Amino acid sequence: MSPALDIRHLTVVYRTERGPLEAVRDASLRIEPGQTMGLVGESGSGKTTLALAALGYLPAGGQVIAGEALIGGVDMTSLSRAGRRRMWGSQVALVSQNPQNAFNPSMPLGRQLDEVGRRRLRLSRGDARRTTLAMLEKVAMPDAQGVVTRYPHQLSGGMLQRCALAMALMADPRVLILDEPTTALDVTTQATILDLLEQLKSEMDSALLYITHNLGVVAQVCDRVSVMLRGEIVEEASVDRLFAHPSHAYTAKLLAAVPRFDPDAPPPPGQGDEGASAPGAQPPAGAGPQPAGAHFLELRDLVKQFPGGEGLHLFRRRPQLRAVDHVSLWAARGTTLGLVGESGSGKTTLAQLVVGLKQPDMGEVDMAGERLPGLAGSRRRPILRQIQMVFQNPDASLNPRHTVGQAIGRPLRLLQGMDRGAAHAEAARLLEAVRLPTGYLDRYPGELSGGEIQRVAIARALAARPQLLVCDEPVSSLDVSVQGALLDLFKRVQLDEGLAYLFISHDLAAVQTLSHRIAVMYLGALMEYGEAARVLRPPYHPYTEALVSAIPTPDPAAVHEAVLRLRGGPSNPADVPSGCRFHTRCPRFLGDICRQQEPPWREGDGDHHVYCHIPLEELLALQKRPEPPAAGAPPSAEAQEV
Amino acid sequence: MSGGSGVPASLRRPQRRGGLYWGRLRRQRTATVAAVVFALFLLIAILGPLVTPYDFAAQDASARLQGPSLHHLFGTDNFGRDVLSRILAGTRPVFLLGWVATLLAAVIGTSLGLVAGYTGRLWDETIMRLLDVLLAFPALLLAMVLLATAGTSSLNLVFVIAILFIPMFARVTRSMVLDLRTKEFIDAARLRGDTRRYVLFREMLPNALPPLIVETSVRFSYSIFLVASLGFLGLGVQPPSPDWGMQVNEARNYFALAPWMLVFPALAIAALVISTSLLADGLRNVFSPVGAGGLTERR
Repeated sequence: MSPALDIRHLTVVYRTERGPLEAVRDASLRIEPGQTMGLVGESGSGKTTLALAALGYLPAGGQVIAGEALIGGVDMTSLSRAGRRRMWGSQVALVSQNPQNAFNPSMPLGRQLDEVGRRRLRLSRGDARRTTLAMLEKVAMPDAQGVVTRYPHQLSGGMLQRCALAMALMADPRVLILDEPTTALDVTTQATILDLLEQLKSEMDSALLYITHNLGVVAQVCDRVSVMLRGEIVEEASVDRLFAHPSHAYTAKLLAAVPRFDPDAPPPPGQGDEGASAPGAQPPAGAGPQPAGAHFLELRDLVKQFPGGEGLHLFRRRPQLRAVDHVSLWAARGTTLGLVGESGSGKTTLAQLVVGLKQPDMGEVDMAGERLPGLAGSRRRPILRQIQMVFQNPDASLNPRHTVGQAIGRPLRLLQGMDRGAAHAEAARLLEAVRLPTGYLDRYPGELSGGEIQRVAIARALAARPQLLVCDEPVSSLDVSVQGALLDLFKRVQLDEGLAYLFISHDLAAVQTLSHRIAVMYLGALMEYGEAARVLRPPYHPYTEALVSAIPTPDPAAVHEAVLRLRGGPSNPADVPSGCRFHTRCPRFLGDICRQQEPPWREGDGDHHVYCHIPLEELLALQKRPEPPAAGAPPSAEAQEV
Repeated sequence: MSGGSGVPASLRRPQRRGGLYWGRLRRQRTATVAAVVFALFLLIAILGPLVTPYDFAAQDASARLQGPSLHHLFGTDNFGRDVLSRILAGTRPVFLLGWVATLLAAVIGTSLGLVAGYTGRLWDETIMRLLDVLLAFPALLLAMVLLATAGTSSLNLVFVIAILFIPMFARVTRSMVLDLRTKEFIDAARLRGDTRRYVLFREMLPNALPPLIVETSVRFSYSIFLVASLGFLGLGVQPPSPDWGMQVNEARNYFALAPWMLVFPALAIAALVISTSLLADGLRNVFSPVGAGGLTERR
């Protein structure tokens, strides 16, 4: 059988302002029909360029200078533009990272999907629509009839990615290229998309090229894996071999970087025991007076509402969207409080209330027993400097027109009153503390990588000598290999500086490595909180359970049976479901009681609290591993419904 | 590409910014030509009387309406004045009026835009709606009305042009501020208790500068045209100073007899306006952020 995709000794060069740049060097890759090849590497390793070259779709300035890319025997690199157009959609298709950009926002999805049938398969209007609906069924799209009339912005990211998959598969292409298809999605959504891919694979004979920086994802869907490093393919092996015996040092490094979720891992070092069990424990000496019984950071009954709802509300009040709904939490000095939840769960809003970027509508934030004014602007400087923040988005966390030295120097001069020279020296010391060369002081953010920018952002926050660092998804947009190093840095800084963290992430594995205590949020409210070890082990809240089971297992041998999946995305925060707000998606849904009554807080050992109608003992019995999938089968049966 | 801006690490080497910008400008052929033409006019404006072959006001009754010759390269006008000298001498007032008016508008408009965008709500509404009123009138008509009321003088001309240009600067600045306001580095500044002034002028303004520089050069080219138009209508610089628009107006009556009287000043206006706008276009590309690819356009 001839391979579906055969890339031979391909070399791609970009013309850039600073001279030619070899993005792909002598890369060879072949995929048989029906096979799935993973293409793994860090950002900038050339994996996307390789895929675009195979598509004949290099951006301006990119040029194939050697080699060929054959799809069904046709060399894509030497085709005319018209020739390539004939191949696109019918012989080769692409699903990209961001589904929002893959669709025309002003056209209903049905019409966009129909186009493939009408143009590539020359179908009549009616047949094209029937094919579209059949494809949407195939990608397990709930309510396919309704989806075709909707516009892209009306669908969640996961649902849109399903549409993109349906569109790509419509003409039954020989080769399907998936470029980081789940990276922009929530963990829970990623899990369902990966399940879908695994299932589709067995039903069709297209060759799949799966591009990702996360080896954990590869284990589940791929047959073979190619590893790319600086434009070259350094290793190619079957998934089992690669995971068991990586032959290249770089592959081994990538494997080691995959976050492994292990609830039995030892808790992070730090003053984790202080305060956790004894509310009256005294803070370390020199920390100033503190009323007995008060925690270092205490959030009491916080509420934040936004005007929400779509469309115009001319004659009635806009519905209020409760982003944070009566949240009470605390953290001890020098420890990490992890906050977990899907996007839209209100984690970021809660962070903004703590640091004072938003004014709470109700409730208060106390630090060291003192109530803080709501907005940062009304907090006194000594209080301000105690709480600093590290942001999610490396593209916006530093001012692009300020050098690293200016960015770190400003808080030193403003809050510590240093002069220019002292600030410069201290900035250099801080750069060393975040493991960056001091030569970076004169660099601009555009000249740094995402991971380096986040290090500078940490240094800038440390410059204020804070006692609490609020970290809002600080590693989520980075490569897996970079994430690991950054998490280690967070750990070390905490030990060195005695900092407390409020660490927010949708990634349980990342939260686990740092947190002493963990809180789980859904639709603005807490579902579960307590000591990390208690929260991450059964009995846990059904929502936590689903989050845990959604973590991709970096082990090709792991059997994927009886996995727990959440259906759909979170409900609309402007219209929170009655009773238990999680009941619409709950895999352990009981019936009317969940729909009608708010659940009680169930208390376990170690300050463990679970917001559920099911008693802890029963949850434990349901969740104990190994779990017989047949017995009543509440998880999977419920999860697939609707 | 995942994470980061997708720029390979090897491209992130630091480089002196001036050198980078200059290199980017030179790589655009039209912009380079425009820059040369613009520089030539600027030189003439600076050197002024040193480069004019004759006194621009000297009349020579014996040499009226002469065509281009070696003595008078661009010919002479109805008073026997040298057209080339009048054009060269007219360059400096155009530059002075245009630049002073444009810079005045830039400073006032930018400040208004910063305040409107950052404070929001009432201030924003008040400032922007008042500026909308200015925008509602046709520029030339408004200029004529104002000049007719205030009287024609160079100073009034500067003020009137500045007033006309303020709304554009305010709008550009405001839209930049609205975008920057949501950036996380601004949050970081608020969290360390930085003053509003620091946030506006040190954090935001540098980021708004590139589009403002482009806007300034676009406005400058408009201002040349506006000065010429008002000169043509007799509301600009008053005789006997050599204004290009006025020259075109005077030449109208002699067009059949002495077309050079009209063609050369008109060409001067066109050359300066076009070179300035092409230069503005070039600057737009030059100021795209370092490391973000610069001139590469996607298919």
